[in-house]
Amino acid sequence: MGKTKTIRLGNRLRYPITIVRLLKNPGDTVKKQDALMEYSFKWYKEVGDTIRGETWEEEQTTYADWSSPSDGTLNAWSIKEGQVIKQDGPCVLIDEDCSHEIQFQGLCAICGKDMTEANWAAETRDTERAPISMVHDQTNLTVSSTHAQKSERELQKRLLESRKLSLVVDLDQTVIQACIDPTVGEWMKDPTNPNYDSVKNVKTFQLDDGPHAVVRKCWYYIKMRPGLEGFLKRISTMYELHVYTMGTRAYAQNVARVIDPEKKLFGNRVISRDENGNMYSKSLQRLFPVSTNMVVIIDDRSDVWPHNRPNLVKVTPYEFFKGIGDINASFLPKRQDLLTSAPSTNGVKKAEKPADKNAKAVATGKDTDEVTKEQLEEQQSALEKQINERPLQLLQEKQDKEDEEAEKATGHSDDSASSRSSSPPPQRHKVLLDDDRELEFLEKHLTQLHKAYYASYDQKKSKRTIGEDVPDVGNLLNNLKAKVLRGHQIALSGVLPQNTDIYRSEIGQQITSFGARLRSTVSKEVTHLVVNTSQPGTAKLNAARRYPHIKVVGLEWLAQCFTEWTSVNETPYLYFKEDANNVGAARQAEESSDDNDEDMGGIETGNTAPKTPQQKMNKLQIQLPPRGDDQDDDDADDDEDGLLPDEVEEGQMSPIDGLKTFNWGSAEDELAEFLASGSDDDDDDEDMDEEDEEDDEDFAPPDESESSSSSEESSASRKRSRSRSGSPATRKRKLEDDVGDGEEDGNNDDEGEENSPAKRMRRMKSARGSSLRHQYEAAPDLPTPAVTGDEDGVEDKVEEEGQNFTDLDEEALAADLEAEFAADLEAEFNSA
Amino acid sequence: MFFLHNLERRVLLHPSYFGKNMTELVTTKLVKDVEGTCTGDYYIIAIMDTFDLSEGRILPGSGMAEFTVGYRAVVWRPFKGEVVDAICTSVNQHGFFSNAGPLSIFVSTHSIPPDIQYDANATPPQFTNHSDIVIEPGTHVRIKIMGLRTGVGEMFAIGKIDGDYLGREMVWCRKCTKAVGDRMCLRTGTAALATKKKNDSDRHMGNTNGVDQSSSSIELTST
Repeated sequence: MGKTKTIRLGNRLRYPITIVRLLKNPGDTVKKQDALMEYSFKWYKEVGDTIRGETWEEEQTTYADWSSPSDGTLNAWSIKEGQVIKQDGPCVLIDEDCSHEIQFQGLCAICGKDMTEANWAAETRDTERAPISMVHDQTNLTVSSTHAQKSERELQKRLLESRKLSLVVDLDQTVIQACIDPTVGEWMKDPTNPNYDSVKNVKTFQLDDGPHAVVRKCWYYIKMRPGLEGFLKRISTMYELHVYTMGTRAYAQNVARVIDPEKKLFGNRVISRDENGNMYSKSLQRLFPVSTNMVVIIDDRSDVWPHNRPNLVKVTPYEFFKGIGDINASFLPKRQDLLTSAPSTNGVKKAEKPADKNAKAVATGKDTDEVTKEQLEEQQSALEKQINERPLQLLQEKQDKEDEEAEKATGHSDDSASSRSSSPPPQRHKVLLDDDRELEFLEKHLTQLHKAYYASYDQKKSKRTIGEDVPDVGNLLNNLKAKVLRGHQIALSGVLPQNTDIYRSEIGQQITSFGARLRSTVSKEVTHLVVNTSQPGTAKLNAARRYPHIKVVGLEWLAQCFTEWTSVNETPYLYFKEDANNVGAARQAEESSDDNDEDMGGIETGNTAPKTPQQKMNKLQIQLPPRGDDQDDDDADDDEDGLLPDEVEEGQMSPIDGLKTFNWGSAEDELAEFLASGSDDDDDDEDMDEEDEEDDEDFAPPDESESSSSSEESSASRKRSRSRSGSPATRKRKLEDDVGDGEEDGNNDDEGEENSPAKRMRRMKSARGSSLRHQYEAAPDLPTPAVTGDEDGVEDKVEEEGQNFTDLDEEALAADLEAEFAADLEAEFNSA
Repeated sequence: MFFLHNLERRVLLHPSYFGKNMTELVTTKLVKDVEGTCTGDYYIIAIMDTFDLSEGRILPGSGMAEFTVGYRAVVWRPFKGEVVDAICTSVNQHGFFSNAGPLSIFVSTHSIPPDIQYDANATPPQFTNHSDIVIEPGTHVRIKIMGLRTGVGEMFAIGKIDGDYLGREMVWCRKCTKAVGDRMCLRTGTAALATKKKNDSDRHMGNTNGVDQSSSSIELTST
């Protein structure tokens, strides 16, 4: 059963040695530590009188035995008696009884011997013969590299026969999202809840996991990504599926049971953090130690696969429970990719700390066990926090509050509002939206990859060049991806912090992996400038304007390209289209940057094309403060009027059907009418009231439709109605506010404390936007915005300021502007 | 193998328990502390009775009372070469894991008869000879222990099922000498009652299996 092993003399002997006698002959059975031969070596000993210093060295000859390091039968000697050996070399061949290729907990699984015994005859321990752990659910079972090769060849053969590949599937935020917020459970039981429909398909299980009382026996809510069942079913005909998650074993198994109740897809091929052997990264070598040629990974994070990037198909993170993030991410370093990081306040904050700690531990050389323990506690406390604070409930409450405000704003009169306040609002908006389409694209890519792989395999096979090695799926994947953005030259602006190496950044690597060339500066060759719409870098933006062929697009375009694996149409993502509507762009940029303040640096993302406009709407919806400043209000009117038609353009290719049915034509007329008469709007209270009544009447039909339509539509119409009409009551209150504190923006929304500086900034940026407009009005392909009403005067003033506007003296400028606005306002009021 | 073993243990009792029924409390605590543990050499399956309960001694400093209790317990010490009944818990390409009561035993493919092959395409993956023998999680198997290693408070074993009467636990009918399986049964008289089947509805998992076995041997030792 064993095999012949060549045994070397070892480097512990005093060379040169002379073989004196061979004690065993070929065919003899040898035991460990049996003396196999006798040898002699010469050395010098210092002899004489050490006290007087009369010493000399004398040659000594010592005889010693050389013992067998392993059990078996002696096959042949490669040395002869009398031979002088100068250095370490092969000495004897032994047919081993057992080569100890499979070991379990320090026992050889083949012969049952204890491998942990240290032995003076052998230089290495026997446990080192089987260093590779390659079984999913056990870390104690280890095998030797030859055995690993053997079993992997078998696997390969089996896969090729059934024309499959291996697919390693991540769980959290890739195929499912988990959360432990008990709110979900309550929503599931409450059919009247607006989120009832969304959480209807959420699966639950109870897990006794962790030492803390709160977390013990807590319920886990698992939301599968839309279309997961069909996806897995179809994919499993092409791929053998494995689960690889950073959750605990119990968690992994429960989730596997949820998504694969019959155990047909994953079988027992589930590996979790408990067996991974590493808290911070995943490695394909853990499962496929020899060759990863036939393995594909799908994961939402690429940084956890440091050594297996070629095999990775990166997936947009699935964010259904908003703000929850990945409940098992505490151990992982902070998410790096700006592109797809959802605005998950919880997740990001949570993840930050352990990463720091980890770094600290590395620096101080702290015991890793200790760190692990700390992180476990960290995760526990994070989980506890989720249970106690119920982020989802907060989110929904916030949403409800906004709905209520919106109701009030659109309410026709006081009595209807009061009657409504007694009963809960009939249409509450839900915070959980299930509109993810990632898996469709993913399935397409995986199918494509599988096809390419077996095409290449068949080709190789027909040429008979296929030996032991099969085509590498990593190369094929790279080839497929490299076609996607070939010919594009992309520069980034405002995406990465300055002084980062863009070529080594996550986003940079992704761009290059999709075949585009990454440029650090804007030059003639650049075809696309990708800007972070929330904080565009001015220098590159201005440079890009010099080349009309450069398409300036938002990050969402890039994300969409990565998702769809095609160079998607840039039009909905163009940055300057918004800019062309002057203040609109600035305002929008403003909106999202404001959001950022709120979201702790979370970045507005559009995962899919249809999602983008709708997300923006959500943002706006959250944003909307009742404006107090009339100047600003008018500005806002202007920009939102400019903005809205754009949104509709985008909306047409979105699944938001509500928007399509909305009668835009009438709204447009409405708008024109309103704007025409809006010139004296701010001067006269009564005038305005009349106006409003008119508006309200005209707006009645859309308002009614709103009550029965989706949240998107109503948010849009609400926005319009708020910005244009506004009930007399609210308008009055705003005015009062203005009079009350002339300088303050009298807004009473929930971002109040941060708001007034933010608003000032917004005004500033709108000023900048308008100046930009004037500057670039001549540009042929940019549609000129409709100049409306009375704010021209104001704008001119603003523009003067805007000309010498720089990033540095924003504060000072803001103060100046503030004063100017206040003065304007007062003058107007006085004249009225 | 099961033994009745006389053991001794020092039990600490908190001062709040001092009172009339202290002896009872000490015994309860002993049972709670000791039953089901592994000393490294053997598993303590059950405590039969206690004797020789010493007088309590208050420990200076903590105020706890220390009792020295002698007790008689059923212990299970697995031996190399012993044949045990176990239940398969998980299967992989290198072999399968099984539990004989508290003891986890691994059987590698080298120690499985060559006709029983690993089948990765089955759900769940299993070892099978493609006719009557299927080894998958939950299957009762009879294993011979080949090697044992003891750690602190735990033991591990390597087993084999290539040998006579080993492998999937067989089902005998009451009279005949033939096992329902591929092996001949030579122990007709003794094993006439053994009617365990694969996928038995009452699967014994974990500790219960060990206790099951203990009941039979308790009779042996105590008579």
